[in-house]
Amino acid sequence: MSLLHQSIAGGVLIAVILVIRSFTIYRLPKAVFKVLWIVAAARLLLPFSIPSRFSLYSFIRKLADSDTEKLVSSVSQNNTGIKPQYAPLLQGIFPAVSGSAAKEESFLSLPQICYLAGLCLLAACFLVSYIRCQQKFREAIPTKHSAVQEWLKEIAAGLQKVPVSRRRIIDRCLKKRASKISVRVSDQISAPLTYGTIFPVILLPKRMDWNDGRTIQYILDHEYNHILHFDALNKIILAVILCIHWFNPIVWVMYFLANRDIELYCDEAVVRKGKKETRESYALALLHMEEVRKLSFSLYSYFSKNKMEERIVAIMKIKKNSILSLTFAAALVAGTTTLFATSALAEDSTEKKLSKQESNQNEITVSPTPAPTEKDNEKYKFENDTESYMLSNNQIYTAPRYVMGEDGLKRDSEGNPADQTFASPTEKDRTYDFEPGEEEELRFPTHSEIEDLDVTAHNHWTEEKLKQVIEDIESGKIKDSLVKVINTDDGEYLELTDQNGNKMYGTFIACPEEESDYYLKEQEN
Amino acid sequence: MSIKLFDSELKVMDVLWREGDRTAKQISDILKGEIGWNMNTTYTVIKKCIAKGAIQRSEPNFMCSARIAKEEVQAAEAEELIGKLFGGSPDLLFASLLGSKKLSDEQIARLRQMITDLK
Repeated sequence: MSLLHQSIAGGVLIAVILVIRSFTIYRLPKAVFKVLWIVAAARLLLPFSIPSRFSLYSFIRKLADSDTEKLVSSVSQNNTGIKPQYAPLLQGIFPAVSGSAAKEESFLSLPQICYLAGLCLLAACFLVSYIRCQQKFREAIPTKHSAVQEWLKEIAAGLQKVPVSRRRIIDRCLKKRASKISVRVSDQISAPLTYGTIFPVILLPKRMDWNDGRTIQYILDHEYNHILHFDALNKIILAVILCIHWFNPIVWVMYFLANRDIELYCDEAVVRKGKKETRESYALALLHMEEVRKLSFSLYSYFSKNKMEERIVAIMKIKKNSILSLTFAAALVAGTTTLFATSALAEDSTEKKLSKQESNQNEITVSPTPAPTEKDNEKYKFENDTESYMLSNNQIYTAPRYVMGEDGLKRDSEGNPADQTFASPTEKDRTYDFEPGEEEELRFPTHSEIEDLDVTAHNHWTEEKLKQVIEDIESGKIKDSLVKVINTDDGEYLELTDQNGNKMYGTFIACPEEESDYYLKEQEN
Repeated sequence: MSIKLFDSELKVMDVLWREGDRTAKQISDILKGEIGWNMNTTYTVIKKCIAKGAIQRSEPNFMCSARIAKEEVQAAEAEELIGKLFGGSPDLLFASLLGSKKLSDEQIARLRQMITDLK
């Protein structure tokens, strides 16, 4: 799947999450949003997706497919009588990249450069600020503050108590990591933070109310949850996603909201741990920290008020999980994921193996296929091993080569059954009975007919080309009803009729005697 | 003359005031034992001190000597991190408890009221 497709599909999913979030942010456990963001992140990062019958894209695809069928059938009606002739043409177009896609390729260079420049710039910004911060954080000094020491002891004691049962193994691994926590103080930061994924460090600002033991407790609990949730890593992943999809505005929205939800999730964990009164005292502690911090920065105090307000309301509305809300949350996550995070289900088993990219390509190539008119003047050219098809605008499409499998079905070069959507030969079509005697109109092409044709259309074919034509007739690629053998005084002509009724003639020249037997044998059979 | 130093820089100065002139390597070893800094961190901080004029460096072996007395030093104010690059948002890259934007008095008062209302 191309990056653009991925970005758009991810964008749709994010839009849905935004709607869900705006309605339920205060009502559902915050884990819901965490899971949804993870799904969105996976959709944006992974180049493949899981096909599902219930995917939104399955429905879209069905719509697109029915449109194609209409197109094909209308095309067929235009050419009554020579309907099968059109089939190889379509086949020629479908596997090849369509005209629009080819155009895209040649013009991509400039957008590509812009994209890469944007990516590098954003990544450089992140990297510089990350390295700078990291450098400053390393300069922090370990603290011996009594409240911190007590908290660390508590954590250690809590880790001792974890029972060794199977269910808890993952939990224990996390907590083992948490036992490496160190708490440091820096005078170069204004708010507590956590950094380091493997050796997590909780940093406290020097300027805060160190006598308020309960606030310190809350801060440390909050940061401890960040460590348990691997949030240092999550934030980096979010930054990487933003770098890759920087051109997509909705990914920016995701970036900021997901970062907020990371905090909300930790707030919830701290509050859930305590009693009901914790909500209020925790929210007040947060505000108090803002107040203390404000003293040192009176210079600029504009504010994204929504952020703090949302957070306070979210904290105050945290409730115990009810079965109802949990069920609703699970259904919501499952529904959103299957509907919006999956890709279209491929039609048959062969296509299932195809990557999404190819199925997308099919979708694209379907739409621009023009319904050919008389003016289009398509021609067949037979070259070496492939059948080429030339449009009036000089674009050449090449049809895939099929061979007859042992089961009598067409196979492509890898032995997979050929796409039977088009030109699937009926039993009758497949048996080829070459009987020139049955032809009623045995005649020379008239002079005007020859004049109308392109030179390439009635040239002499080499032995290989003629064999090729015969093979194509046998394999059903060229319908026998469109082929005539015309006996003339000069020898035999093979007449092919294309969908516009244009006729092409070929004759077999310069063949050694023994080789010409091949053709004659075909007739006898 | 007084110089504003951060706590990290004060830590390095402390070593020099306490122990006298030391090489960068020796300072790094001492601080590694005391507060767990790695060599790069210590060297960076020493360079900052040199830039601020608090330390004089002389060869050989990157010998450091304090150029100012303990009494001349003021604690520096915390400066906003990243600030210029990301509109002041260390909270976007690191799990920071509070956002980098500050609330005004009225906003804090209003939120406080909200907590009481929601109780």
